[in-house]
Amino acid sequence: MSLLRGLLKYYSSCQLKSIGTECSPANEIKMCVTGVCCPVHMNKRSMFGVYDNIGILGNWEVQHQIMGFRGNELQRLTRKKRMKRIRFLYRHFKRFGKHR
Amino acid sequence: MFRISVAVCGRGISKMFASSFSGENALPSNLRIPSNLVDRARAKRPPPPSDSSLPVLRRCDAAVPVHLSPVQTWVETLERRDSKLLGLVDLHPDVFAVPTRIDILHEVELWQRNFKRISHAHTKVRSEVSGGGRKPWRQKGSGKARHGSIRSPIWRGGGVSHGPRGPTSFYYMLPMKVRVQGLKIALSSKLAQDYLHVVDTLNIPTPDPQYLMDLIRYRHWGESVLIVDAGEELPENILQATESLKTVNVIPAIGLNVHSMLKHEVLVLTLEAVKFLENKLLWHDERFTPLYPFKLPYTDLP
Repeated sequence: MSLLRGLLKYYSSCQLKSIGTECSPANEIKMCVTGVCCPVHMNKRSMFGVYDNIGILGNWEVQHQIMGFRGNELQRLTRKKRMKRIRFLYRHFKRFGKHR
Repeated sequence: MFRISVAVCGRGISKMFASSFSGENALPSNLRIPSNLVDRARAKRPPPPSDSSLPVLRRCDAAVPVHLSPVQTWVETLERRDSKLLGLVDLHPDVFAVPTRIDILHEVELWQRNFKRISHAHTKVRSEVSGGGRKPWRQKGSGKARHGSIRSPIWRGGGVSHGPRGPTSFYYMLPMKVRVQGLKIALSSKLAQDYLHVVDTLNIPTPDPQYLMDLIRYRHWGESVLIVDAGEELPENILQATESLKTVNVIPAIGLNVHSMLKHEVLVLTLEAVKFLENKLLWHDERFTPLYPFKLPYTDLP
């Protein structure tokens, strides 16, 4: 429970920070505990990795709440539709430098 | 002078070849196990008597393949400090006697470390650093180098040209059967290395952490213990006892994973946990490929 509270505090503080900056880091990608209530918060280092196999061992009732998007910068920007930065990067790498 | 040096060299060469000739020190130095690697306390632990007529408390529920036979372990109890054996338990060979593949263990361990990782390293590019829209001085005639903005990467306080950009995720999923096989291999290697103990229940007489430490030290189990129970509700005594201990941890069987098994030296399972794990892990050997992900409802899933 204390871990959930801590995560909520972090998430809310990120929300406040994101109003000022144009790119909001923690809004889309958030990492939460799977939501199963059990004494995992006791010792983070020794309990690392517990509940990773909750899908296999738990009938897929609870899912990992991880935003599963992995890509290089161009793919991430395309997803976010940051067209100005995409256009700049395209022109930069296509026209200047060694690899044209 | 030459004869003396030949004699000295000859003595050295003969010493090099002497070990390969003699049968006493047969192993070369790189294959000999150093003496501090063997745990003397575990070696001193007396093996259970071979002629005791203890009953087999549990047979395998699932059918064992014809060419294999179940592996057996002792069932102990946590109620008393001295080790009293209650009986034997049969373990399914397709879960507890699987050929060890260290590469699969390594893959699963790396996956567990990386798939949750989100690196929040982020640097500002020259367009994101505040300021720097104006040309600092005129192009020609001032005697200074030509610049277009005070936030270009060559300036102090300017943007970073090729730095980390935004939160990056390292998410990927290994195939389900690889993760299942990793669990089976971890369980088999714990059993093979004598680090697996089966216990009937987790009821201990006192919630005192010292009782557990005494028990572990008396039975020469090891340094760190991971105790696994089947259901969600764990007995209060053992929860209280392990709350303050760093090296002894209790988890439900749903939370079992390769990283925790490698992190803790000893694994203690209850009989219900053994049944639960065999049930869950053996199903993947004979299932059909899913038409749609398993998280969506199926009528015939167990």
